[in-house]
Amino acid sequence: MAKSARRNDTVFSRIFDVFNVIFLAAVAAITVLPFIYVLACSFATEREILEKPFFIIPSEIQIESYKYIFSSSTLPRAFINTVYITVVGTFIALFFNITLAYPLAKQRIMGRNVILSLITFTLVFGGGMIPTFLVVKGLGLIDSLWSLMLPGAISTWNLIIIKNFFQGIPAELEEAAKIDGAGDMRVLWQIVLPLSKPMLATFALFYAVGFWNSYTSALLYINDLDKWTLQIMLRQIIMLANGSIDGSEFDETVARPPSESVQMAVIVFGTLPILCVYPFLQKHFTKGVMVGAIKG
Amino acid sequence: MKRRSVLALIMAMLLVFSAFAGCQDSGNSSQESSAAQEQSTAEESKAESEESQATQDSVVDEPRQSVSIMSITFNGNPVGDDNDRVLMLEEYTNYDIEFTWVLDADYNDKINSMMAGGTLPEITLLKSLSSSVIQNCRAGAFWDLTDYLANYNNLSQINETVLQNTAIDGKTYGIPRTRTLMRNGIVYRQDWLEAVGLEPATNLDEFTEILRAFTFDDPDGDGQNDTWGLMSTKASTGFDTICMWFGAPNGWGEKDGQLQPAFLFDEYMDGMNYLKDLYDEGILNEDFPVLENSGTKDGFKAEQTGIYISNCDEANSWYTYFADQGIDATMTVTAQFETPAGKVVAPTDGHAGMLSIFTGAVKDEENLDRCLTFLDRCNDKTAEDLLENGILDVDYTLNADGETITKIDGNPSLGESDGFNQIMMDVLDNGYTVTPSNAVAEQVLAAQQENSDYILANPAKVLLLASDTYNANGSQLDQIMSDARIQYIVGSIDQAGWEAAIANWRTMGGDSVIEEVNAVNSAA
Amino acid sequence: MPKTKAAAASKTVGRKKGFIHNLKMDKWLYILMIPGLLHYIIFKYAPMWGLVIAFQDYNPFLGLFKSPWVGLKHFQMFFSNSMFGTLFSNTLWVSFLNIIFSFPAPIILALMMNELRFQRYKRVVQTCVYIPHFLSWVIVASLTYTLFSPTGVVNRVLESIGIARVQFLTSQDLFRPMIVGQTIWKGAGWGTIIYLAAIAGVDTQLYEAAIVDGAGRFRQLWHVTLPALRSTVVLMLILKLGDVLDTGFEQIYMMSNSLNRAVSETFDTYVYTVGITQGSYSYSTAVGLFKSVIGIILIFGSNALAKRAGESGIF
Repeated sequence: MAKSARRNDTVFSRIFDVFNVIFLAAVAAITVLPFIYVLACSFATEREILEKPFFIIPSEIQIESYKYIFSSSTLPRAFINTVYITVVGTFIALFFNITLAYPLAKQRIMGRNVILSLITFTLVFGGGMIPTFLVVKGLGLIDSLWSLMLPGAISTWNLIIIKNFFQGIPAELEEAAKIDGAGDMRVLWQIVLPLSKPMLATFALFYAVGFWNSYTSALLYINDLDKWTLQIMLRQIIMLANGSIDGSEFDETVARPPSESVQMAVIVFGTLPILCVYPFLQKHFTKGVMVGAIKG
Repeated sequence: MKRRSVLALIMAMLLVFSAFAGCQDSGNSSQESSAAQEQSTAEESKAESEESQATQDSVVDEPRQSVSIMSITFNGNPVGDDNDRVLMLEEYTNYDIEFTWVLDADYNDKINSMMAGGTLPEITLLKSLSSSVIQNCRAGAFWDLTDYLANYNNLSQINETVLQNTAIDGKTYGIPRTRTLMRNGIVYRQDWLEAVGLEPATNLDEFTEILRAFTFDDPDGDGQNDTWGLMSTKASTGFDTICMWFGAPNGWGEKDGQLQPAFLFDEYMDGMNYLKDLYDEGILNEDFPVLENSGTKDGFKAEQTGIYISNCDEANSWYTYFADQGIDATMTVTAQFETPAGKVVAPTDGHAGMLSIFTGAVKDEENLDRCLTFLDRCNDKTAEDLLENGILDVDYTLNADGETITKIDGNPSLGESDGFNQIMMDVLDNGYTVTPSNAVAEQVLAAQQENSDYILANPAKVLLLASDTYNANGSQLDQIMSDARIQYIVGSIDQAGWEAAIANWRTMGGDSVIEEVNAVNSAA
Repeated sequence: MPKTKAAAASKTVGRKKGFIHNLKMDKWLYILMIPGLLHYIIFKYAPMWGLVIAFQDYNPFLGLFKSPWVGLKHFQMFFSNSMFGTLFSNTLWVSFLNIIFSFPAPIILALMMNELRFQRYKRVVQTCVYIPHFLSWVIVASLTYTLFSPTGVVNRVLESIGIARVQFLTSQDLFRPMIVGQTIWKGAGWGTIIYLAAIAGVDTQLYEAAIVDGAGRFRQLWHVTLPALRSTVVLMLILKLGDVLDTGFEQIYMMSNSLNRAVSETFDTYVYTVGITQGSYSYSTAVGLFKSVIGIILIFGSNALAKRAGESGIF
């Protein structure tokens, strides 16, 4: 935001600034500390985790839990699959969303209200697990990574917001370009998309996180262990450790749950990479859009 | 920036179109032939191609068959098809085994989806007799094996009690993964007992004294009041055991000429009052209503409690844990002590689910025989040793006496892989060689052995499966009573509140359950 | 709102020129929609037959055609359940408190972050606050337990300053505040993203114009930023209303226990106890259908209200 705005600061404004900085620092601390605890646990001994309620720096550091993760062939492979569906899935999702949302943002499109009503309907109504499975199976997508990307390529919730963002772009801009002889595709490509960068960054992030976390679909649609995703492994390890899996408690042939530090290491391994996406997208949120510059 | 995003979009579009093209191709081919057919043709061609070489090196003199099986893995790293153990099992049984490995979380959803899609393998592990499993069996999804088992050497010898416990409407729908009927024993921290100058309990009074001493006499000697005599969790499954000590039945018992659930017995109240006193005195951990199910075990590891009354196999894993972490702890495992009700211990179900045969993939008796023969062979001692202990001289060595074994650390032939032993049925109960690996493991086996003489079974266990009300509403009914029990023990309701909960249970369907259970009981 | 006027104008123009011409003129727009619409037909509407299993005793082995039809049996069971009133009010309470407290939280947080002057500090704060979104409810619940159990960190602090222990986890009065607190902690930072994107989309000329008019930072906030956020806020609120009977299963389930069950049992946990653990797809579909009908009524209703108030709404 323009710095010049703040030259004539009032006293109240300054007090607010101090309060704001301190308050947000507190908020940041509250939100980040638990994650640091998880991080610390992943390096701590199991005994320390069980005996101490909370700590930030482990008294004795071990890296066995990370060795465990990297020594197994499953986790790194699942990691690669997850990265793949996240990257490719996000591009597909953006393509589907933009191409559907942009025309729907235009009031003049015929059948728009019917289409939007039907789309809104899917916000709350869905066929459920087994019917969707049968569709995916009918398409021959079982055991294909496409089954993890295509069904989730449009989230109605996101689509509606994207459509509204497009609607918010001043129509004069497009009119002007059209008078200059640009077709709809060029308007979309050269005017609308550049203007929508913060929005595109947002939804790229939303979809990326969604694909990164894909769990149920992977569980149902993938039998081939070479194609399992990270979240499946992660959930499994956590559930096993919490004893929330039925039957396992009374069966001696069940493998022992992994130690607490391995669980924590798995959580770190499963979240840190996607956490790192946001800082890269951040620059798109902090820049104001120069509508005027394009207009001129 | 701009050029990069152009590229990205083009790439995305290409991918999408190729995806749709892909969909159509495979969509057409799979629509025509049902999954079951696909499977059988795949099997035939596989069997043919391997026939020639199989006959040469297999033990049994017949062409090698194949079988598909779905089982669970816990760490997501199941054995590969080329693992030595798998190859040796294939050779021994003379079957090519096609595994489908599934993580055990949300396993039921997976089964139901695959069933709906007709892609369930021939043999499926059903982890427990959940309502979903019962409904599927009733709908005819799995073969009724009742009349077939007699033809097989091992499968004809399944323990009668276990067979009853896995029966649905009196029929056998799978080969039970037989487990010992007695798991329970009492684990003490021996060094804590020594610190407070007590011996393992021989009766309830002594036991209560130990609980008190473990709470207030600083058994871990750190000068802090940081131990609990008794630890329980939000599931609070152990409370039923304690009520049994006061004469309540296990689950259900006979009263006024009909079967009734335990909480309707006056003796149950005695047990609850005992627990309530422990809670009020600060011996039972204060936070048990919110503690996760693994809480007691974690508490034992974290040295917050020194007594564990349940599946005493846990002692084995604690033994390893204490050794690994360098914690100086010793344990004693004993059988049940004398209580007002005598020596009583609840048995387990004696099974960990069953292996069932999907009617959608196995269409006729000939193929059923193929699957059952495979399962029968898996119960031979050689196969079981392979499943449980591994490969001789790789995973374990045979001791001088020729009967006991010594395991080699880390199961070399398996490594990190798991799940292989999940298909072990062990219908002959310990058909494989077992050797306790340390003193605690020996005590565990001895305690379980002794406790087998004190079994107090639940007479309604099987009958409940036949109650429609319980099938429809059972979880809610169970929850009403387990909630009320916890509320009574922590004092948030009194006797009147407890009786109100029972009244609620009755109107919500409890009375119908009693009626239905007794109707089935008198019919039998 | 110049854009709506312009759009309305183009609409009338379109009508006059006739459908064929319209179709021809906008042919690229219609072509663009094809992949997305196909997606809806294949992945959203093709499985929609699954809704009819609410009227069956569906069994996956028997499938849709062989499973017995039972009419409204599951709905009758659900509505005649003596728990129904409690479930309904518990669910509405959680949703209501979430709309009052958790919904505005990210908006306020986004505005506060927007007022930070040092860009680097702002980015650090942003990155921190969105981290909890990535921790699953299982982890959040176990952290909550560690902090708030009778012997947990919070109670130790309270004791050391002479305040009696508080039963955060088992108290019926504190259950809802704890749930709302968790929701805000986990979701507020993540929720800011969309509002920050909306703020970033504000035309900087508007601020410049306001400065020329002598507006201070708070008046800029009031006259420029907030109006620019309004349509996003309204839209998010409408979408939120659709989920009013959806309290999210995992969080509530993890936080419920025998002592707070009277307030913690909601539709989602109930369906889990009765439906999923009992393997009854039909029953849970019936309950889901009921929730969806309420949700769609609220969405269309609130959308109509928003349009009457001059907002753009969903469509």
